[in-house]
Amino acid sequence: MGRLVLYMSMSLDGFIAGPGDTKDNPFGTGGQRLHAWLGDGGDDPSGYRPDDDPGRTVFDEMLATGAVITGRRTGDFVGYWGGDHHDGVPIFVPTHQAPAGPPPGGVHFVTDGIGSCAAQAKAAAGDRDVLVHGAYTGQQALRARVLDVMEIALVPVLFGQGRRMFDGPGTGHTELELVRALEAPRALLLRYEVKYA
Amino acid sequence: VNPPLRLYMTMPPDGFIAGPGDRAGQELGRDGGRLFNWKDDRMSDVPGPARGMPVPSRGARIRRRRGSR
Repeated sequence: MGRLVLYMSMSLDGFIAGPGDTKDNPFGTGGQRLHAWLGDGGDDPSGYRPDDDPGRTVFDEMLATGAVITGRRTGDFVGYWGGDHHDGVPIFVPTHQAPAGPPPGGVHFVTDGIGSCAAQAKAAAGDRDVLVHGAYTGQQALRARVLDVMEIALVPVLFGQGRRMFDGPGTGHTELELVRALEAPRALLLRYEVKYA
Repeated sequence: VNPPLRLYMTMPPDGFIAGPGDRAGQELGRDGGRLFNWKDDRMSDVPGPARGMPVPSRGARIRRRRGSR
């Protein structure tokens, strides 16, 4: 069985987007800075592949996942990647209420909780891991104790304001184990396993 | 010669440098000693210290913690 792995880029002061993140400006003001360790982008996910070995290691692992869980907010911002984040793997979206109309491509809205969402995504991914995106969704997965790993790209910048990765007291004291630290030219790539008490 | 001012802090990924309720007599707050296990194992009921972990120099790859995979 694969594991749930949260992939997020974060400033040293804990922000994953700049202030004023909206659908038209999904990274918030200055937020693109957090993703400068990736490639320049393009129409295809491979356009974001970094040009350094540490970055490629993490990026390739991310795109080897067998399912995606993304928050409603993140998903709405990016139009659910047109229904295909990478390789056509299914995309699961925990939400209180599914939007009207048919979901795009391989998107599944899950309304009975993050635990159910995690179980469905793991079943769909088989032996592969599940990619988790989104700060709120990551927090929910931590609270529900279903998040296994956090892969944090720690970017050497202070934002001072924006959207926080870890917000609110809900997760409490949670032990992490640093199982890998790679030094990419523009970010520290930190892999933590979550050790629930 | 004007030496640089360097800030040395110990911080978990969510950015706290002390637990809740830091005050005189409990300067690190509740369970805040956990942050300094890397240095002197002051709260031994949680994952152990990385004794002898080298301070990374520029360009060095950071070592894994002892006992990790």
